[in-house]
Amino acid sequence: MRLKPEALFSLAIIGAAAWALLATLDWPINTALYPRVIGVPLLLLAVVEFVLSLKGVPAETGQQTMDFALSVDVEPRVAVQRTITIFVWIGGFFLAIVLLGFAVSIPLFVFAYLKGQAKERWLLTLVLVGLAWFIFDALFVDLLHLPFSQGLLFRLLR
Amino acid sequence: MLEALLQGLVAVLQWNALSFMLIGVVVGFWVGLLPGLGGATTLALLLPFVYNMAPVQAFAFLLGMHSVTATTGDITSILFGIPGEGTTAASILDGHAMAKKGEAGRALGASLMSSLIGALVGALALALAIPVVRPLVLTFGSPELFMVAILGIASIASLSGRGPRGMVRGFLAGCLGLFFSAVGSDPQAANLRYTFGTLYLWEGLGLVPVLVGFFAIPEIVDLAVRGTSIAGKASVGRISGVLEGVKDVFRHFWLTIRCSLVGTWIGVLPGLGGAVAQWMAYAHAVQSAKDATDRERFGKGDVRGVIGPGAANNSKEGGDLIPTVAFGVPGSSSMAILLGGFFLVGLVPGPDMLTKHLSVTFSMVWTIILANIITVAASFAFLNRLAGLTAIRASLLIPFLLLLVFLGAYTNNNNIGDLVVMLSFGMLGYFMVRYRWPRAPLVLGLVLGDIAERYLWISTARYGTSWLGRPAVLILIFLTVLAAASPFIQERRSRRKEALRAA
Repeated sequence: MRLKPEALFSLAIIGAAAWALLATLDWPINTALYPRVIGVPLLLLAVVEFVLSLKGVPAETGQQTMDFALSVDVEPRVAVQRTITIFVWIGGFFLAIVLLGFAVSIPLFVFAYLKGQAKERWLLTLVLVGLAWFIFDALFVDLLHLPFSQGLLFRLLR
Repeated sequence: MLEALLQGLVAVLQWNALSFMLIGVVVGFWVGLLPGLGGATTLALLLPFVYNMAPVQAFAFLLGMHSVTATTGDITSILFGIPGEGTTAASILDGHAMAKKGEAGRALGASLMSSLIGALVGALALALAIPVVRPLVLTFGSPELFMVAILGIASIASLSGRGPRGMVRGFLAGCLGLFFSAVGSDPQAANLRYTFGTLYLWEGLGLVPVLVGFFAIPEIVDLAVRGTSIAGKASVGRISGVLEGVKDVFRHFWLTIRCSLVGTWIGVLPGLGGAVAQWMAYAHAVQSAKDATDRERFGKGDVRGVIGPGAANNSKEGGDLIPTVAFGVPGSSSMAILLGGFFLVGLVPGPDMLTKHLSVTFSMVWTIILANIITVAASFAFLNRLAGLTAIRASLLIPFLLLLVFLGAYTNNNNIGDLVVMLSFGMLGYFMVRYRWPRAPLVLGLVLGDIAERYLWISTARYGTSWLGRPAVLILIFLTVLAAASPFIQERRSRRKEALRAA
């Protein structure tokens, strides 16, 4: 039987809750009490949710939550492709920050996204890269004096 | 007392105090707009500037800045789905949904007007409550504060989904939030829990990277998938929308007042703070829905979901100040920092603030009122331009949103760990939205978890199990059961009404 992604998500929560409870076994009672008190209902509710996911619940009772819903008016294949693409960009930005630091990654990322992904015109791209760098440097570095560490590569090269 | 009230006003209107207040308001305006930069952090950064100021000038400067951050924080939450402040995350649920429907102007109008009313209610509460609040606060010990935390989670968890399965998911998300709050050193013996051997997690999960990732990443992914502007094909509401939002606040005037009072009361209670007040107010707004169908509108762009948190996160400022000024007991981290300001200008919080320095106390009331009026007026002047930002196409907006998300998360501890937490919660938030799990209970669980654990432990150590029999605790247990059962009661009532109508 192939599990639905929804059921897999509940299964992941079950796994995390079980691991969290097992971890408390070695702890003194002061430390373990609260995670146990929370962990037990968390595990039970996750099991109930998993069983309900396997059974499948009609949309009118299961699909309505007090939260926003992802757009459904885009073709599913395109939506999946775009979702993967944006997650790759987000991951890439993170990796660039770790390796090169914020000061280099910000203009680099904005430029790469605007030219590579959005296919914007050169002039607009360069203006927006300048604006992004200005926001970072003038506001976060000069005005707020926030300490931004150098990237891993620069530290290794030193 | 009236004389002191007028003296307080005159003191704030002196050119030097007014100038400092305006500088504070400008700083607070931008701090609120920028995600991640918190009012408390900025308060700490501004503290050294007050050394040579007179008390009225110092509080005009500090409170002028701090009291407006929640107002402008709502603007970022509504327009971009990124919480401008930790205390404005609840505005995203309905505010950003309205922006996506092209009703950004209306949402902003409602948010600003409810913020102003909330601030006025909070300031009024501060002015009126000082003589009467002492006995009330003193009746709330650790058992009652623990039950307030549980009541908050039960309210939002039970209301966030429809039907039994919705409730399972709501409570599951609430438990998940409570569980995440266990990360870090435990408050009793400082033993480490779930830190994976990293120093970064010793102090637990930072609220800013969690909130920024949890709310902003799913919105950015959705924006990229749609490939349009935030408002999509809908035309962006201009001035008429703004006025409609203002009218909405007066249409739901009693809701605004009730949510303001919720915010004020949460502010008065030590340790709960603005992050809790907004969700409590949101839960109250949802609870006030007529029936299940009416409740379904929340989360999809219902203006009441903007009004409630907007009013509460501003009214809590006045409430926060009550225990700080009257007893020297800060209700939140911001107030603890402000307490430092008292000592820097040579004042000692406590009875003296209600007698010898009463005019200084009233100058704080006037600062909150004037700073919010100025901010709301300035925001209204720029609303059309701000609402117009939702018409910018996604490809241009996404790199800047990601820039703010990464920088905002990083400001928490200036550590790469902040980014890891932000991305992890971004992924979790995305899957929760994808599989229709409500996110609000998780956030409230995370915010309240530390408080709940601390008060549970104190209650058990101090009273054993006898605290469960305290009258105020019993009332709060009854309210918790009522809150958990309210969706069923409401559904039953509406079914009965329908049956009567059909007959």
